[in-house]
Amino acid sequence: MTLTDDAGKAPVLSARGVRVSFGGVAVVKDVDLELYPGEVVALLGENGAGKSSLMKVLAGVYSPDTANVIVEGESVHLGSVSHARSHGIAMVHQELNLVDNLSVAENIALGREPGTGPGLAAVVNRKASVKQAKDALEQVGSRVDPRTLVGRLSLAQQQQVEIAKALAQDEVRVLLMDEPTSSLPEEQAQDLMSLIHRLRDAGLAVVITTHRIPEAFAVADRIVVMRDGNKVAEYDPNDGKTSREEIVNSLIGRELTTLFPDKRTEVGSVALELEGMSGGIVEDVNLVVREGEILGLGGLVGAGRTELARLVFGCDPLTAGSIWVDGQKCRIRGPRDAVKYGLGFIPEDRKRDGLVLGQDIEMNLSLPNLGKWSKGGVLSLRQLASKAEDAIGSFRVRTRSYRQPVGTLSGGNQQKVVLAKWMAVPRRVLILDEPTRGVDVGARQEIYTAIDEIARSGVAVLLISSDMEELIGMSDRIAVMAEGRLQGVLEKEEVSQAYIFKLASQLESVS
Amino acid sequence: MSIVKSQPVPTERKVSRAGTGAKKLTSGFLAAPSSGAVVSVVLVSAFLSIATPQFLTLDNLSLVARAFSFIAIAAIGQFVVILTRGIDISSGSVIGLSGIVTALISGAGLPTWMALLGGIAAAMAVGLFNGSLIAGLGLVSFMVTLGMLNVVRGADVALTGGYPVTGLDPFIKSLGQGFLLGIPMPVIIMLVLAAVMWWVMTRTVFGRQLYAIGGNEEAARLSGVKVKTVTALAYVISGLFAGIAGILLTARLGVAESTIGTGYELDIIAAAVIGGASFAGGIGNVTGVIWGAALLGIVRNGMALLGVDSYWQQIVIGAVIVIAVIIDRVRTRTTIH
Repeated sequence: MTLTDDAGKAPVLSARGVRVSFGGVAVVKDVDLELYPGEVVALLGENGAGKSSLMKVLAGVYSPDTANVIVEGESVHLGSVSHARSHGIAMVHQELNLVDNLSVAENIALGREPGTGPGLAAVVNRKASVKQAKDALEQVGSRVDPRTLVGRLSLAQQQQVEIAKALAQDEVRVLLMDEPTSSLPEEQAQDLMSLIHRLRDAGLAVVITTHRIPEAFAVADRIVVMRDGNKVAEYDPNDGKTSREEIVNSLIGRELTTLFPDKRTEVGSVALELEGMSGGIVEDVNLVVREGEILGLGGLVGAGRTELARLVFGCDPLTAGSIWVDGQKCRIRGPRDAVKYGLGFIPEDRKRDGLVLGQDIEMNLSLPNLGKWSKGGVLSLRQLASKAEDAIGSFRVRTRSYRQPVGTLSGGNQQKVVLAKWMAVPRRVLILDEPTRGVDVGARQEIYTAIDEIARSGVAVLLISSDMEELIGMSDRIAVMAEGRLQGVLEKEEVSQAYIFKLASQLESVS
Repeated sequence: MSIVKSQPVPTERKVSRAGTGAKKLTSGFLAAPSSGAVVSVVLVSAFLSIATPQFLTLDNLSLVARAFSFIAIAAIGQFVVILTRGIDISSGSVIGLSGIVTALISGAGLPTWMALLGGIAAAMAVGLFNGSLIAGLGLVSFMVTLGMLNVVRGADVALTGGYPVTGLDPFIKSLGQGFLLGIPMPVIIMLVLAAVMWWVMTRTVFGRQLYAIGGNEEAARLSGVKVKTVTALAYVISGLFAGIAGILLTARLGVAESTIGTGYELDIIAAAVIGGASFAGGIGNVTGVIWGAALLGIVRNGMALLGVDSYWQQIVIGAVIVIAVIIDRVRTRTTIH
């Protein structure tokens, strides 16, 4: 990789009038973007604002309707990924594109294996391949052995490999990263930021998209805000004048009033009691959630919070402990029993575990409630339709009709469908695992309101969240876990971000 | 990488509910999984009506319908399995089994109902065995049912000793050979079964849970669906429908032979897939399956009427299957699922 010396002056890439549309709908509308060597640009925007699409045009993944792209003063046509690569533009996609059953070196070399011979008949030079991988990994500061299988690596390590793979080719001048931190826990996100800064200092132009505004401030030299396919504003985060509120407002195009609803004051009797819960990495957890209360569950990723939720809901077997709902001991052997006792579970990955994406809203809403909404196993479509209409109305799902497949809804609306699906019949306990992951700011507020209303109706809510603001803003009390154990439960007046963090990283324990 | 799939869909926008009815109807039709089969049936029928005067006659059409009704009935069961992302390759042998068991019981002079029940019970037992291994132990459906294809065919030969079983009760024979209001009995039975299954798939908890399991097994499980039980039942249903098809086919022929239904599994699977069932799971409907079977039947009949050489017939049928899959692929690319 050679570096451009005249950093700071001429843009390495200049795109003018980029326009992309799908099926007649413009997703990116005449956007201009200039990238300079040695800078980090954060592209902010709600879901569907067009930031990923813009990136994909530059990476040669999408072909734009119009676009005038100049790389290093030379007008180029980015017709395909390999075109873009040959001009030094590489992209790291949001979903990692690695093959689990191949080694790190094989993944890095995939598609351009060093070897001798023509085309597919070429014999791979394994030594050269490992060497190439080593060099690339060094660049990103990764110490994994190139011969390890990718499937054995942690998510953060895989991401480093993905970046190494992007850098291993040609002379990369522009690195595009789509939501690189969305699946990383806080600490590893920090590491990634410093890697991005190192790459910038080496002369690359780095573009990242992100949902986390503080992150944009931390990493970027320039913040570009997109909304509805337009570039609406550019900010310099380091000029001391730009405020987060200003950016939030230009993101959503309106003033954002308080994100979180007021705290509830009335808390009823104990609805859910966990006693000595153990199983998997979870060890001896005792918790109580009252009706009308939101109990936050904080901790680092891997602290065992999701595992605890899965134990309660019967997804994984308990080795010890018992679950009480309304003072009654429950035998939960599977999700089916949990549903019967009035529990609801909104899993972390709604696309994988929460929804049947190919099916419509009505079908998804009915799934956990089929027993109640049928007679002798027979459904009344009219009844289901009216239930669906009700749910769409009360949860403000934005859709054409209840016949729309949930896969075509935005992330926020999908999450509302998941909430509605569980709350369509009265429940006692609702467990939410990262309910606003991948949901944009506007829809987030609506989801918070919905959760608040659910709690106010007398449901005991257990809220797992890695977003500190959300955890503190929504919860009445906060329980913190680390290494499968409960570290402590903070009452309302004890809650502070620093305290939670100390508990989560086991720097301190509750007296 | 398909651009269409990852495109952000502007769902937030209020789409006007107006929009012309006819346009809505056609776009809804084209988006339906079975549209390819329906269009093909219409086109092929139109061509054959012009190409040969013998095609568009009541006699011929009723013969065609009877010929494909056996495949269609078994394909309904197959469709239920495919919906759960599985496959049941044992259908062809099960067709033989139910016919043979029915013929043996009936030939021994036992009551008709016992013969029918015996045949169906044997078929459902195979389905239950398949389902238990696949859903209960998590084995791969392809391999389990491939094994059973051989096991059951072996049983077919063993039961008959290689000789045709005769002595079928006249009532049973009439189920395969008779007519009601000029319509062959197997066709009537096919239509009734299709209507019943259409209702089961769209109006019952069981049907809905099948679609959910095919669409996202984990989401279904977390919603409290008994995934294993429902999946196992899909194979029992596949066995049941293959069993019914087998009895009707045997009744139609009048004797049970050990080779009945050999190779039918391929047509059965093809009919379901041509009719819009997707191996990706959760997609398809019963009506489509009937159209899929009809397409295969009409193409076969048309080629016979046109005097196409039998080798070529096989090539054309194979091509139809491949084309149907291509159409399905193109269609699901342009609509969002």
